[in-house]
Amino acid sequence: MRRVLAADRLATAVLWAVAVFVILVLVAIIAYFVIESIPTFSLAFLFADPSLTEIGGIGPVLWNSVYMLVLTMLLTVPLGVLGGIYMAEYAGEGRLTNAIRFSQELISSVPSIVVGLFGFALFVAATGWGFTALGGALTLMVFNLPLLLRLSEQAIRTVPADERAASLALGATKWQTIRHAVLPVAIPGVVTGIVLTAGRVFGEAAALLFTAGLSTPTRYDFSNLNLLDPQSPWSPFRNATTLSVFIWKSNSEGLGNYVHEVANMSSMVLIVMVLAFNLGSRWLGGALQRHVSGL
Amino acid sequence: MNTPQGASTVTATRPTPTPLAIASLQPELTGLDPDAPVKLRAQDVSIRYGDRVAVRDVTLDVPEHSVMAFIGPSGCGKSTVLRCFDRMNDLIPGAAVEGRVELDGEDVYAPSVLPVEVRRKVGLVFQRPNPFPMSIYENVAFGPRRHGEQGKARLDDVVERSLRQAALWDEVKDDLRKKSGLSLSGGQQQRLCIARTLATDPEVILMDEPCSALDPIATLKIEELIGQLKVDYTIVIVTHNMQQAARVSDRTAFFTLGEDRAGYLVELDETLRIFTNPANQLTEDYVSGRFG
Repeated sequence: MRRVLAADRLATAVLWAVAVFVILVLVAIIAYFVIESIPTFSLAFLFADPSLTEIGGIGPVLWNSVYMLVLTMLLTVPLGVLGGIYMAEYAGEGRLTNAIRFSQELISSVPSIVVGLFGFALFVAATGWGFTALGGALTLMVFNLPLLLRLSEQAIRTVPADERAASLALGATKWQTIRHAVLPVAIPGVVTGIVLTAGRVFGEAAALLFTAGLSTPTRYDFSNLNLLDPQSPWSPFRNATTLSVFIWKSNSEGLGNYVHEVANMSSMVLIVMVLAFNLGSRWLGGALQRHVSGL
Repeated sequence: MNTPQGASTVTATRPTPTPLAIASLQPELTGLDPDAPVKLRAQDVSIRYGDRVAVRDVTLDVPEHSVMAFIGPSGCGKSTVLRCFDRMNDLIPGAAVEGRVELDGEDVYAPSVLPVEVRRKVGLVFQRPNPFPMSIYENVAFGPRRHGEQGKARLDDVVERSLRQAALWDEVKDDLRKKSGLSLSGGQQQRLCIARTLATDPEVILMDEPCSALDPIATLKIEELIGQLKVDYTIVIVTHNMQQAARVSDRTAFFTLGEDRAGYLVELDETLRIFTNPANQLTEDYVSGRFG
């Protein structure tokens, strides 16, 4: 009996230790970048154009990151969620679904630099677009879609069969059942999937090097609404270096006096953005669920 | 020996009734209307899951505005028969229904009939209370909304009427939009599920062991409710609890497992007769607790 209790205590202690370790690592990373950034950080760095201050600014690349995120999610979320519904509710088991699952796993395990090269061949070279935000977003979609598909399918599959049966027994059609009984329950899982995917978009650099490009104007004119003008910040047909790519670039081939500081501050901004996005999406998921459940 | 006979042929070979049983046959004493129209009918119904025959050759009539109980040992196909009346067996892969199932004389399995239409007329209350993780109001409004009702005033009406019918209104009227259906007690959840079914304005209510997950007081409330609902609805209830069958039903159908592992209908009669003077020895053994 004593030995059993000792084992129980040991297990508890080990699991605690692992959890504490993981959290410490996370806190340490954030703390490192915050401490490194504070001496040189200013609001101007966030929004100003790079040529104005001595250190420069990340205004344009920050804008590009947000733009790329929105564009990629616009392409990925509808396909991913609807595909997840199809896989969970309609596809059944068979050769087609097996083939789809197999390719999902395959694409998920391909290194993103390889996906980037594929994107270059298809969306940059074959289309003749050159380096564009749209090409970058499509490339990001290629390797995020399988992830989102699988996460939404799982979220939908975990909804208890009781919910479906109850809805069908009330005379609801299959689509009504999915829309009004299954999806409301699956929303938190689907939102988690979307957040994970979005995090990857925000943090991805390798797949964008050859697709969205490494250059960006020093300043954007937001009054230019011409979507086909490569100078317009709203246009998908323009170079769009994102924050992650910018960090990679300043660390590997940056020249000025403040390269190190710029990379650190950009990293801090990236981490804070990802954190904020996660928390925001959690809140959004909860709000959505409260809305559909009438509470 | 165990060859199933239609209920009618079994009753034809009934032994001389005892005085108690005779009383049960007189409509004025039992309250049963012998001329009540048939609401549900199963004619030589066999149901298979893949290669396995779950239940075979069931023939029975459920008169309108009455309560019929299905009793019998586990696995004898009671729930399977129940669920062919609202085509919920369609959801199980490999399930196949042979024979004819009728609602108001219409073939429920006719190719032109949509399961959705059948289920709007025939509601089902499940064994485990399964409210949606939504507010009480949204739970009850779910059916009407899916059937196209959008007017807020009318939905409010339906929700209140259904909750009153299910004897739940007084307990939840202040929390309709504040509380989740899941925050209620087990017995309240089951009454919420009944209210949710009533809100779709069904003609028949099927109940699949509705009290097996409930405590005795909650069970009693559901039983009282069944007594009130049969005035307006036709009810079929599957139960493992023989006292419950005796308390709530007008007629009782006893199913058991044959030697071929398929369930079949042994005997169908007025409840009082099933429990006091059944025609079949198997029924007698079951209701007196000698097997099953």
